Amino acid sequence: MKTSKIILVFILMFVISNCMSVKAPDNWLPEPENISEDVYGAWITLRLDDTDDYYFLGGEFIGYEQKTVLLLNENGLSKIAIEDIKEAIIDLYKRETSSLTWWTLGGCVASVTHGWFLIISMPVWLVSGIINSAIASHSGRFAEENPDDDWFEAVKRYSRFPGGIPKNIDLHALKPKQINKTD
Amino acid sequence: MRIRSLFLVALLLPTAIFLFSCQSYNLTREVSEVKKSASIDHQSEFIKIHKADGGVYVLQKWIVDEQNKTITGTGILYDHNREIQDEGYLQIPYNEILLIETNVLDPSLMTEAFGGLTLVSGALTVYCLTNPKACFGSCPTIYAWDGKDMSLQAEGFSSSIARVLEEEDIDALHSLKPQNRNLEIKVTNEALETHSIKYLNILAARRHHDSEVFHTHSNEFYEVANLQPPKICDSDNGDCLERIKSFNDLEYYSETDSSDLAVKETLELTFDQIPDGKLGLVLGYRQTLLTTYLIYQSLAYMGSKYGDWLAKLETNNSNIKDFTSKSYSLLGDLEIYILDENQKWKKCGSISENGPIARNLELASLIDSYSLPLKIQIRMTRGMWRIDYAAIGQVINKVEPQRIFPIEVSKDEVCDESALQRLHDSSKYLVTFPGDSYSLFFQLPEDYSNYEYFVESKGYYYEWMRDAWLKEESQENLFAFFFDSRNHFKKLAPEYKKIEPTMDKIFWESKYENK
Repeated sequence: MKTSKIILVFILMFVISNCMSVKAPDNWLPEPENISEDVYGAWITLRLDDTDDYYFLGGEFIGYEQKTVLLLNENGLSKIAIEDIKEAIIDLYKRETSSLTWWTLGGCVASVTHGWFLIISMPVWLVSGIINSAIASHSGRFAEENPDDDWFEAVKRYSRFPGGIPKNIDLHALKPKQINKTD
Repeated sequence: MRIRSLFLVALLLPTAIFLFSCQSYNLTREVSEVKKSASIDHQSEFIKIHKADGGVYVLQKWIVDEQNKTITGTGILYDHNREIQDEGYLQIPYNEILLIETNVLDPSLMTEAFGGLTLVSGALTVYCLTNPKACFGSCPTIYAWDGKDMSLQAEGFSSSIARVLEEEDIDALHSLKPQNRNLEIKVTNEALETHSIKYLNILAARRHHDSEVFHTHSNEFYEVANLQPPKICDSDNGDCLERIKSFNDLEYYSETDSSDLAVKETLELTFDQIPDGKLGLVLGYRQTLLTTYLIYQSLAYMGSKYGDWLAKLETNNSNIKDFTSKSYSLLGDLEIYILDENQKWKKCGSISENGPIARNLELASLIDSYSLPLKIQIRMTRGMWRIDYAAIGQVINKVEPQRIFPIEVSKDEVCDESALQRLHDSSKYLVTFPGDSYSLFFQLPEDYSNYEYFVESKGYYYEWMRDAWLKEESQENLFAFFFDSRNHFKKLAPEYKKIEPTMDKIFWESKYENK
């Protein structure tokens, strides 16, 4: 394998593992094993079209009603109409992708010591690393481009209020989830 | 020795990582109303009970008391801001409950469960062996009395080709003619598949004598009267009115494009007889064998790695599920467009139900506004759908159907108490194998002739790998199938065209039956 090709594969591997990396703040998402007792909504990231440039908005998925997504972050509550949403990503729990990438990288470097078997071992490391990174980075995640009403109706079960927004509460007084800094 | 060791390390280490480090999970979150509390998934370590005021109970141990209409257990009550309001032993009356949520996280790779999937097919016909992607298959087939015979009327959870894709399915028993209050439904496994049925119930929706009840894609039920077929039906192949004006075996369908399986076509319907009141479009339809072919083709590409892929699907819900659904979404649903007052085509709904066997009869779309004459377009992938019926009707009101559970199950005319218990216990499945046939008995309401009946089923199934498919194993083609679907469907088009004319015949002749 030529050096340039190896570099390309590494780049691909890092792109796969990092481009889908969780956009929630550190320690915001629950560990997978704690999700069944977690009382907050999933983390939702919305890509909005802002004429010349794209921008992202992220926060706790509070609910979905009347074609509007409600999300809550440190800046308060936002209500976004679905026609303004170009892409939505919902992250349910914490995933480990970077360690897998570094592990694969280590394996590739170590395969240099394999002599001629480098021809076999390095591609095996690369392929399994890329596939693993891709799979792990999508675990616990739902993503949709130009999400429609049906999609949000389907995923609102991952919001704080899956049964709809409660009628008699002051939405702007909702408190965001406090991050456990000690984790 | 050194070389051999290095070789082993090179091969085994990444495999070990693959198996042990990639502990991606499969999260199944069920959200249901309190009336389904009896079917709470007890695999869930906790349940969350959502209140209408935004509060939520999290219970670790709980009991559902159907008689007193309460759920009791130990846990914590949080308010809408997630501040603790109460904890300890809690009793929650049904009328406080908005939704019940369960979460099951399954980290297991399930490799062993799939080890036996690569099985030899020895029972199919010569046709099937020579043309293996036309073999009969498609989830549990459901037979009921049509006045003359036990005829095929529905197929259960046809999209659920793996446990992770398990979902509820509702199908109209459109030809059912109950003789009395005792209804028998035959549930069969006629393909090389393993079926796992969580439940199978009858839904009875009351109607007036001059109306019918139809369900929508979102499983709502409406009473509809005064159905009117279109006056004109235009298609790319010319006039199609004869084929769609009544619900019978005469269906409209076209052949796929020879260069691209994803090419679309449009049916245009013109209605001149418009019933009064709110309108709805009723469609009778089913799929052709195109999706069956594509599913089998993807399984053929997986080949001996089918078990691995299923394990990945089961343990990486959102990942591979996304890839597969994106791939099949290229083919799309039946999309309904209506010509509005401004003479612009406006999308007013879409429906889809997988499966080439039983015809679906559904309320495809509610129509809010239109111009006269009323024009509706059905846009769909060429060669993928068979349209049997289209009519507009007056939507009278929404109906809440009554759920009827099976009271007896028999296999080979012998009462099977265990099967009945499995269908009543939401933590268990009735598992069936090729050739199995169960009779389920239900007691209908006293005035049974005043209802429309539907079958509600939930479960999943696994296709068995066929010897003949293994020859096409190709990870390269598999990746192209899922990641470059648009081009790959073009590549597959000529091959599909070769077998398209004979697929139907082969499919029906390859049904697996116990002789």
